[in-house]
Amino acid sequence: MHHHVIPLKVYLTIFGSLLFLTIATVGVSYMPTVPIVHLIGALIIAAIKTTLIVMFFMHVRYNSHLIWSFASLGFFFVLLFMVFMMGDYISQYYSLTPATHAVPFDKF
Amino acid sequence: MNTNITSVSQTHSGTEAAKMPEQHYLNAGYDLKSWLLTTDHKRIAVLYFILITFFFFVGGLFAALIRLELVTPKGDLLTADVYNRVFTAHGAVMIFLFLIPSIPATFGNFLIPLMIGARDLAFPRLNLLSWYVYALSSILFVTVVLLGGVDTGWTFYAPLSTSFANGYVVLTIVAAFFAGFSSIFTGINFIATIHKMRAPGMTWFRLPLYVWGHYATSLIIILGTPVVAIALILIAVERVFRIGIFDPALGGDPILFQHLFWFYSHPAVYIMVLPGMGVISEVIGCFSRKRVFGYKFIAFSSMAIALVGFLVWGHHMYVSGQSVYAGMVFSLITYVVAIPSAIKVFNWTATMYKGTIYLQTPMIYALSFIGLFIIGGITGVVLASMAADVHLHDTYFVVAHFHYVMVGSAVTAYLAAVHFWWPKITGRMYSEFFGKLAAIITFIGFNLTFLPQFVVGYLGMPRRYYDYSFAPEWQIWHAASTLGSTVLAVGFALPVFYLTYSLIYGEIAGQNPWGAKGLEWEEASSPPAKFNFDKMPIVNQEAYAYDTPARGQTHFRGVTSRESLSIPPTSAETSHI
Amino acid sequence: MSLATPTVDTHATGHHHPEVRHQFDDLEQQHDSYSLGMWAFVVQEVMFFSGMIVCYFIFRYKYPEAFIAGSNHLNLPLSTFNTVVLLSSSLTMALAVHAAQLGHKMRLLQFLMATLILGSIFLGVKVYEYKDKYDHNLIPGYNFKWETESTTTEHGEATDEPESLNPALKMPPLAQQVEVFYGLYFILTGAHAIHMVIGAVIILIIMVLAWYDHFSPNYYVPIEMFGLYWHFVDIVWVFLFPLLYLVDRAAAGGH
Repeated sequence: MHHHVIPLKVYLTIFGSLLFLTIATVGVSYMPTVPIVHLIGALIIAAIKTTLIVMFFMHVRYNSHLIWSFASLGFFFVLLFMVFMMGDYISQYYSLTPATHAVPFDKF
Repeated sequence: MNTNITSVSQTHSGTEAAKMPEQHYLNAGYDLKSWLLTTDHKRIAVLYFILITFFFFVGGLFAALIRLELVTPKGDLLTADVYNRVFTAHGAVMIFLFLIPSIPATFGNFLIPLMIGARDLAFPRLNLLSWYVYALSSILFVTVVLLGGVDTGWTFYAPLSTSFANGYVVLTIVAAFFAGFSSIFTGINFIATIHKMRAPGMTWFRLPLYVWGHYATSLIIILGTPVVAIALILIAVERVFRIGIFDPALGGDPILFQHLFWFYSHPAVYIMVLPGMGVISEVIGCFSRKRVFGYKFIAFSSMAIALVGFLVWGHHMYVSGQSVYAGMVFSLITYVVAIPSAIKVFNWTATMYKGTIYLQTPMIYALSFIGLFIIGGITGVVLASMAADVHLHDTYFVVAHFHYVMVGSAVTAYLAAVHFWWPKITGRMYSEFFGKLAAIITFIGFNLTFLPQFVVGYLGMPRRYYDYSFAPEWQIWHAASTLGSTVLAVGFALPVFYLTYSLIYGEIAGQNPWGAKGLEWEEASSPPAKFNFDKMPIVNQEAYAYDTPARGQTHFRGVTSRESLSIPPTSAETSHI
Repeated sequence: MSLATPTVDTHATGHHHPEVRHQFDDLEQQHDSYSLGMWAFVVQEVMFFSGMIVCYFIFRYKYPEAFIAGSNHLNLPLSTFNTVVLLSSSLTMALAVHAAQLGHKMRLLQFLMATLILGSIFLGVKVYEYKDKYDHNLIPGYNFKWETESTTTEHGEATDEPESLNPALKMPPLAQQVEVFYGLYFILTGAHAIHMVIGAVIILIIMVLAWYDHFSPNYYVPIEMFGLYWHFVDIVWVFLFPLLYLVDRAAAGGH
């Protein structure tokens, strides 16, 4: 078989990084700053952790382009979904006839 | 060029009677176990075909009740509550049990391995599981209907469904959830199969466009279906546990449900119609005896529809309280999605241009498809405009529009597929006369049913009303529509009889009765062998490599034997091809 | 021109590896198909959770104060511990696949066992957390009671009816907003926990198969595919942890 056997050291390094990032994400939430920074910080760290898991634990880094594209497909569509949904809710406040509990953008 | 293949087709089209192959998938076993525990994609396709056909007529029965009720302005046949349950059952059965699985689960299952040169789908047991999950879902739907039904409409809009509806909402949701999982399994199977199981030489751009259509469909299925699954689960959670997600009285947000629901349910329209478009590409190519014009454009337009189709769901929500700015974006993208659909229509017509057109039954269905799809598509563009939609929203204009897409296009394509591949599936020919008759009756009946609905909808008739005694002058349109639905019912019922008849008394079809190109016709017997091919095919040619037939030459058994006008082909005439 | 020249004999399956199913030509095609199918399934799972996470974002945007108040009542030390547990189970799962690749049966069984134990610890902690919420009357739609005074937010104590940021509209009371947060908390962690339970059952099945020498360095596809599932469940938690437990700890004054 042509499968790449990843050295144990790689697994352990990735695990160490994941633990470090877990501590980092707790730390970020205690930083005295505006809410949006907390959210973006948490999402960036979660995205890095996800990338590490997908690339090494799930072997995508050593896999074909096809697997690469399928691994990113779901996340790409989630992003599109989020952007369109949030676009609607954020702009509801600025619509001429706000129909829901719309709130201005800077309160996110 | 290749006299070999031509001469083969001639033996089939000539006077010599074709023979059934000795061993094929249908006679590989006759007991119930050999069917219910089969992992053969062809048998699973037949299992699907039986259930799906049944539910098509169940859904049709509910449609008949709706049309009967609307003959008179007053609500006299059904009560308001029963009417609500009837149109909900019509929508839910037709969408979840017929339209979404229709072409993929039957013809996709049957043909994809045959078309790409594989022995089976990548995951045959998953395929069987998907049929069982579908069967479970259908049993649950039947249970709901027998218990008294559900009155939310197939859309399950919150908070109606979570806080006010009386019917068996949760049970219906479980049924829809299972139906969704059945199609997810099929989608995963098709993706792996199309990527990994193609025969040597079957490159992406040699795939039949039908396979491209199914690939795009499968992507939509795995990306969209889970979202509606979770939306429906949340409805059940809110209804059962009173946890506020959608009901404003509980702190929820009703627009959120519509977003989640339409994120799947708009692309679901493309799940219904993309495989149908694939069927039409096959049929048009075969019966025009021409290579399909603009192959890559059609292939990529399927992919473009799959992608862009995901970004237009908000056009169902213009008047729901969605932001007008979001509405503008959704409106614009909805206009954009019309482009790849139009590309397909132009390419089909360009394929027919200067082609040698044979008006066999599948071709008549395909031509109906093109016409009806244009009407359905263009009225969709009308509705995509926000200003027009404020007037037309939730009227019969919308009803007529989506029936032109779902019945006029998806069901017509399904019938085209039934008639085109029937000889391949059963090994027998049906009556060409009755086939053409049914196709024409269906076309007439369909237009008579749904064209008046455009008018009455534009005049203001709201959908889901059982009583329009406030405007009795609309009765003429409703009566015309009901009359048309009767004709349509005849058109849909006819094939049941002559196709069943053909199973026993039909002429033996032979391997390639249409003289069509493609591995399923050229390399597999009719019906195909258990593992599809005797020898694994190696492909060295593009799809639809049709040669222009010589004058008077025809590949059809039906045409040569019944119509004296065509001159029997001689070797002198065909040897130069 | 012939479309196809038949050359390979379909029935010549005698040379097939015994672990290759009839529809495949060789081990590589089989492995690639399973791998792609599993990734397609993971895509499906990503979209499944995205529906709930979108709900989370919408309500966080609508009810920011309630999310801070609700989130700060969740048990942060315990959930951080749980995060570490789950990440460790991902590591042991990756090591189990590694052992399977090398054909070390005992190590494979040990790592699968470790994964199962870590997963069970996670679920046990989860059960304790749920019980804790029940004791504090925080089960939405069942026994939910929220004392506005008990919040430590600067906005919380003033009134039970927070002023809408859009004056034209009335907001639901803060207690109801927090109830929505807890509803999402239970739905998201519940859906995640169900995936964990399903995963635990599959580990047990794989362990039995491994015990009876079902796998070899040539054929360990099921373990690898299950690994993808388990890592995916881990990824879900990687997002749920900060989104549910770490909403503006600083704004709430911390604990």
